[in-house]
Amino acid sequence: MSDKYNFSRRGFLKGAAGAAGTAMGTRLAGRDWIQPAYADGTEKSALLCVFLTGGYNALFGSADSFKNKSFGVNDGNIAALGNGLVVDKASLGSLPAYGTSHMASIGVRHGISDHGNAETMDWSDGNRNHAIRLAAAMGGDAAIKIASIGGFPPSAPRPAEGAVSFQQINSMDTTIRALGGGAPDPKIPARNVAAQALIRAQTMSGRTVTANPKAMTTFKDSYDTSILTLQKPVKPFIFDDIAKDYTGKATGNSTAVTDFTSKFIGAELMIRAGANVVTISDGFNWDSHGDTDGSGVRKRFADQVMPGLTTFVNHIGNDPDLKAMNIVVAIFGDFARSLPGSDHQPNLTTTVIGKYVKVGTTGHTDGNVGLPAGTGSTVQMWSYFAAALKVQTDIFGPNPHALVL
Amino acid sequence: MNRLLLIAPLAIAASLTFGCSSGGGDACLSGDNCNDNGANGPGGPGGPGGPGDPGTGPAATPPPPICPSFGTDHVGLGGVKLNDGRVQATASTDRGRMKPYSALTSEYKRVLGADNNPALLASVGSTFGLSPARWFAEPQPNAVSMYTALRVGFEGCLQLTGGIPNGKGSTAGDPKFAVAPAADTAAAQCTAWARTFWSRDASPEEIQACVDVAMTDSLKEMQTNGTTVDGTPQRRWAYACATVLTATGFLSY
Repeated sequence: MSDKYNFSRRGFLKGAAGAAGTAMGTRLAGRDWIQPAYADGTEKSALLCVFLTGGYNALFGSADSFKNKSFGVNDGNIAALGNGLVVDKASLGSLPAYGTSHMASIGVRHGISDHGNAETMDWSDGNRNHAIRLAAAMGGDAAIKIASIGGFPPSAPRPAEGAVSFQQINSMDTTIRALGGGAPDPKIPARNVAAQALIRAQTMSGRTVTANPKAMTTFKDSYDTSILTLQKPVKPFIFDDIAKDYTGKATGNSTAVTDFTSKFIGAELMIRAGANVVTISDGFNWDSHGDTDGSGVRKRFADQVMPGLTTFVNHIGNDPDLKAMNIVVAIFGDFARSLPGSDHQPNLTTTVIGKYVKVGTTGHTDGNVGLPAGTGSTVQMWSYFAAALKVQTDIFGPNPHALVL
Repeated sequence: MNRLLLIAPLAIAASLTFGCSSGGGDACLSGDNCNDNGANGPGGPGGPGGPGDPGTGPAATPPPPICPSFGTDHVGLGGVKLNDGRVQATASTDRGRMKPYSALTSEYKRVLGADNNPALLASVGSTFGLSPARWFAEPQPNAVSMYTALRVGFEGCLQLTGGIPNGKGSTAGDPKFAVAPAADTAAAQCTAWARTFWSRDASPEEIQACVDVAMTDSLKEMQTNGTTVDGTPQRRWAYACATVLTATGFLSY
């Protein structure tokens, strides 16, 4: 996949925050193309949510809570990052320096120990989706403001917020084409005609969509967003330049969305294209009952999450385009795992990495995985995300986690 | 097992005898009183005049239900009627769904002809939400799949109009597509396509939208280098054709 792809020039270059992109090839223009339309009006921001469906063991973000007692934690497999934050050494503690110096654990005392309700409340208030609200509040002019790579986070409602709706990305190839990329091909509709054709198709679909206001609301969102996407000007870039650090292959990288690594590539692609919020998750693979020594989730995290996460964190800390942005990474799951059997603990310790994240913790649990009374719940976690992203609109209420630079 | 075999037909018979039904829509779904267009034909749930079609005139009043009540009240362990607070939707409405990928693979062939087979379709299953084996996930459109649907339709329609070789390598196409669309020919062709692709007749507004693509929108194609070229007759027809294929009349049921 060495084709030169084209991106929405404004959306993409805003996402790149102005540096003539080394990762994008040499055809990109400079900072003067970019206009401030971001969360705090000065730099492009973006949130990447890594959701571990089933649960996220607190041994990762509150490792010292279990030292020499449970989940196989001992002096040799923990890393103290400062300000009371002690993490699992082989995973979070081994991320590039940018990650370990911009990391916090955020406590979430949601009081829910069943998967369905925990997932629903992690992502929504039961009606409105926190991620979509955040993406809408962050503004900017990217056509796709919130994207889910390879599958939606489970269980939560996803109604659109104004013109902002969740867009699922199942294939990077078709996504890149939609964003305007790819070598010239007579079988590809010209973008100006394609935009008009979709407007006409939406007109033809009006009666059906109106008559099915709930069942077919995604059709309306899809027409709206695809038309917007096609109406954006485009510029070339090279997909392999994004993917090569993840795969080790300079050319011929697959555009399929399969494992976590390909999802991280997709996330970077969409963030560079201007998305405000991107989510990645996998199947119900993190419900680690019986994993009393934590070896199961350690191995799964090392094998599946760490390769992509490490490269992504390295990119946001060092790539000129991404470094110029305020990118926040949040890792969380339904809830933490309880003791002694690694079952369902009604709280959560979320890991957050970002430019303005202050090293520390509000998610330090006691030896029985409990969090102190007064620790915020899920909406306060999103309030913290918004604060770290420098979102100016107070959409989730006050942020109780004083870990923002 | 034998008991199950005995009960099943009895249960079906009972449901047919005593099951509750709205006065409209269900009859069409079951095939009674429907025209040859099926559910999406005129009078069908997705067709003009059908329950899923608001039409252009005053909203039609749904027919009264045939049964006087819907279900039996049950009181839960907490002493609360389980039906309390249940929202009753109007029967036969708000039930449109996107056609799954497995259906689309044959749908394009059905409406475009077996020789006009867009090769792109074979590689975009994940974009259209193809579920892994033994799993089911309700397909939902998104911006990428909508644009991809246009691409698939355009490729198939280019084969139909002779703009590119079809599945048998022929670029002959129908000679009528070698002539640039005019208002009358475009209206006639759009009417025919809508009838074929949607299994129902299009409204004047829907036909006009298709005509606009053929007559106006596709006159100039912008190239990736920013220049424009005149759309050839075959491509202009193909754009109109693909537009009709990217409407809900084809993509949903």
